[in-house]
Amino acid sequence: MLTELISKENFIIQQAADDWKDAFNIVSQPLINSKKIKPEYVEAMIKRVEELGPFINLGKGIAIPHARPKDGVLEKSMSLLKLEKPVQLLNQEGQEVNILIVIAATDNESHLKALQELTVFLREDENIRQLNQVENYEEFVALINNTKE
Amino acid sequence: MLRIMAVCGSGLGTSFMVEMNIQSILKDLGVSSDQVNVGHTDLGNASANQADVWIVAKDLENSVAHLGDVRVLNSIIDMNELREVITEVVKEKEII
Repeated sequence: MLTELISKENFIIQQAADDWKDAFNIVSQPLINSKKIKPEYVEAMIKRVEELGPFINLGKGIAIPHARPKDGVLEKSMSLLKLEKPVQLLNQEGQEVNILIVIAATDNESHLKALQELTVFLREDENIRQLNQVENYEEFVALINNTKE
Repeated sequence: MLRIMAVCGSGLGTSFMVEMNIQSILKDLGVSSDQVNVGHTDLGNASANQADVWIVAKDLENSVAHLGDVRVLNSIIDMNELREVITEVVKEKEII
């Protein structure tokens, strides 16, 4: 499920981003291109962090930017950006993230299976360590498939 | 029946992840779903009578004080921290 949503087109590895907002734009671009989300969904994700704080920061360098279905989701989708150099959410100390996973949900339930897989995956520090070493999409798929229960 | 609710900004992502991890921990502790009910919600829809204990990430700490018994997490995916918090809660409530 996770690797179906995070398809090859929706998986990006990049050296660096200008800042956290730039990273949000980069990770969202494939979803905009394939008409899974409207451009305003990106603005909504940024606005939510500005209003509510960095609640999307899961810790350990991982963030899951997302807004609400009505903020411009056209089709359930996810994308992943891995940065070699972290960005700071809200430019704040201690908010360094280098893996951003956008969640675009069409309702409150349908994306939960993928999120469940992600949650189980992220429970193990070893998985996060290996995710940080992944160099291409094929390695990412292999890692996810290997760690499935 | 003890009711634990995970809260986040949207109710779509992080609170669901926390709910799942709480359920996994309760299972490890041998606590059944008859004894403890776990749910997740967003900040806008959360009201004090929905749960006995609220679990929230650090950044929302100040937004949820009105809900009552609030426990704060530094990291959403740190299972060790969450295990400590949940174990403390179920001990306090004399479930284990």
